[in-house]
Amino acid sequence: MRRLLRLSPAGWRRRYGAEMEALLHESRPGPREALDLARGALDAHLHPQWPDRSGPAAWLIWLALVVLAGCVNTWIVGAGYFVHLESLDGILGNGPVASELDPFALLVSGAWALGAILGFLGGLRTAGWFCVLMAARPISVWLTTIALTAAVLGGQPRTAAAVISTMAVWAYVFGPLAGGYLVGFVALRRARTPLGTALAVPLLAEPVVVWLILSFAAIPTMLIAGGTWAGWERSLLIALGPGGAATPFNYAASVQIALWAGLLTAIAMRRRRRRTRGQDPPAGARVPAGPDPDAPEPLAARRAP
Amino acid sequence: MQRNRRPSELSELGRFEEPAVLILTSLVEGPRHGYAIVTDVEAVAGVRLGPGTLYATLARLEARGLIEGLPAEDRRRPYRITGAGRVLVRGRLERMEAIAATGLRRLAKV
Repeated sequence: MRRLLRLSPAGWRRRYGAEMEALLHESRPGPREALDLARGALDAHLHPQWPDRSGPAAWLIWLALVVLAGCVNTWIVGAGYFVHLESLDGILGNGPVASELDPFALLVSGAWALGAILGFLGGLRTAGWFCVLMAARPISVWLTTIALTAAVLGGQPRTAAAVISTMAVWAYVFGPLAGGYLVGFVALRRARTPLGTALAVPLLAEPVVVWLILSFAAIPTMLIAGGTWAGWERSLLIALGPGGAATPFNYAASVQIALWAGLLTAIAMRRRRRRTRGQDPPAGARVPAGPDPDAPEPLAARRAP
Repeated sequence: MQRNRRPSELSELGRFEEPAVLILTSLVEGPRHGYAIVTDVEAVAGVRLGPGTLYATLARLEARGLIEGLPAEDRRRPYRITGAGRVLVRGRLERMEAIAATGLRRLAKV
């Protein structure tokens, strides 16, 4: 159990290590306490209560975590690109549905779920909710799969496939875009600084530019395909490259999301530092020599006539 | 729905807000070290504070000047509530008391 104390930052251990060891010695810690201790160590890294010069800054740790999450996401999706479920491709076509139902895509969702947990544990709720949004993305595909099954059983496989394909494209293509805007809006509201705005605006504009270009690329193909909704959809997939919308967008999305998460983290940390500036006690414990005899009782004073 | 929020440093503590109220309430009676706080809180509120939660909350309370550490006795450092901490916890407990009284009064009418 005491080994878990080593997970805490050095400054924290110097200040609280001996006390915590004494507490662990007196109590009978179990698995629940071990988990709580590990959680407390993570909190001490992410939210040091005074400047700890013994280790990297908390924002740097957060940034490293989100960049790592982005990289892991990219690698997993990249691996998933080469290992498709042929059977699902055969049933659902070479569209984003198959890619979303890929087990690797589900692993990606798991990574986002982990990011959400870390975000909430670390007190960064915006980043946490964004991770929840990304983790829940395949739900739309699962729902359409249920609809497909129902339609196939009802004897309308062609209609069902068309509906599902269109819904999946919409969910996959515009879902992350809407999510990006939601996060951007929250980031801008939270930032309220010229630097935050300057950083956030290009990232907000980027998906718009990308999708405008893709739409313009899709229009001629749509005209060739006959100018129908189905043609537009097909042309969009063609414009996005082989394998459907999933693969290239996933690559771009992982980098973009890592940037977003990093930006949110930096803004949050900057705001927190600004808010607590001047309130931090000096490094190490402030241990008074004796009790304070003049402890005020403002509430009683307020009630006095 | 617009809530009438009163400025309080405790509300900034997020998930450590409830442990903070429990710890401050425990320290109102006098200085206590970590294990004594844990046992007192468990006896009073039926909540067992884990070591990570306890010291994360103590660090926050200390950083905000709501408690202060006394000289350690055999590795165990007692903590004492400050005047500011006393004011905050009193306000919080009075609010809780008012809510409880209102709720119980309404329940009695049902």
